[in-house]
Amino acid sequence: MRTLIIVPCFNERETIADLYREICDRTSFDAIVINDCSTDDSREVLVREGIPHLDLPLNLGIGGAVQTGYHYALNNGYDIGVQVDGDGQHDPGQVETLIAPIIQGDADLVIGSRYIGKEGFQSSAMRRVGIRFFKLLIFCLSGKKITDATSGFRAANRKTMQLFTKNYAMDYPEPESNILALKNKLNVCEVPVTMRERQGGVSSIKALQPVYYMVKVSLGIIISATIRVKMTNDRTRHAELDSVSPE
Amino acid sequence: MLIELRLILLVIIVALFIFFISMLRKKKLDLKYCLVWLIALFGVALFCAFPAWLDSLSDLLGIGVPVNTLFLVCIAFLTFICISLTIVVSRLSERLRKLTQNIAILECENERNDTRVESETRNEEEK
Repeated sequence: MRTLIIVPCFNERETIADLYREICDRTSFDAIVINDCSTDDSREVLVREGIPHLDLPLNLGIGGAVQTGYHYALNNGYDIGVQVDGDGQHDPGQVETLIAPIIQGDADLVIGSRYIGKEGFQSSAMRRVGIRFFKLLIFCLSGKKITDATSGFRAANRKTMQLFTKNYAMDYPEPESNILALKNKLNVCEVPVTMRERQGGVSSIKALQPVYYMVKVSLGIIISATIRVKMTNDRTRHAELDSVSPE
Repeated sequence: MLIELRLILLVIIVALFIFFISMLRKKKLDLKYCLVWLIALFGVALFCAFPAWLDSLSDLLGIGVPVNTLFLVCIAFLTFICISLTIVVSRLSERLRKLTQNIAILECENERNDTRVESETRNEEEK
């Protein structure tokens, strides 16, 4: 199966080149960096180092960037898309473990969870409380336990990528998209991974008030639980502009 | 309705009407989004011209002071405008997102095609 590593990148000039080198050294997969209109010289670094990348002309947020990666993966015939964050939190060496359930046909979406093995970087106590709350909320709505709903370290097969190209939140997309996948009858499973502390950049969550974050994501989870996406054929060329009907 | 209030409303209506028309002529406003404002102005003008209508509407709704009916209608109208604008903005940002993604993907494909054509022509030249 062809696997594409999708690296969303917003102002990651210090880590992005090292990360790409690590991906090349430790895995045999293709990788593409989605430059989300970085305001530092990430773009120059990408061009100079000859790293394959897409340049978004406008800043879309992490959700929009990753979704672009899924579009690209579908267009170019990849079977699996794996998100690896540009700040170096995710260890490329563990991509193999992440895609194993998909290759065996056991799962459509695999989430790398920090909280199964309880090893490595565990995030702050405040954030763990939030994640536990999401776990409860998702359990109430779907009956499935997702221990690390905010994890961006995820692998998706074609079916899941198609779903995500049709419906994906622009900011803090992971918890919402997990419940969306569950409710659209996809097999979601978790595998234990270890995460590292970020090596550069700023968390997209830290910059905004935690209260806004919790309210927005909780509402997003509840709304996503009610959405059923109609899946059409496998041929999705580019983002479907015409699915938004003109007035 | 007092004659003073009617005069004030009349002035506001005329001023807004002139403003909207000039904006429309300069193409700074889309007629589609402006139409609802013009209709609203027309509605308020009607109440100005026939204050008795406002009184009977107040009686119908059980509102003691007729001018409160006017406020109620205004608030309802403004709420409606706000909601419709939120919908328009959401739709625009959705379209913008898709456009942005398409541009990034097409640009990448374009570059790849360019390099392919380049290497092909170079190969032919070598032959």
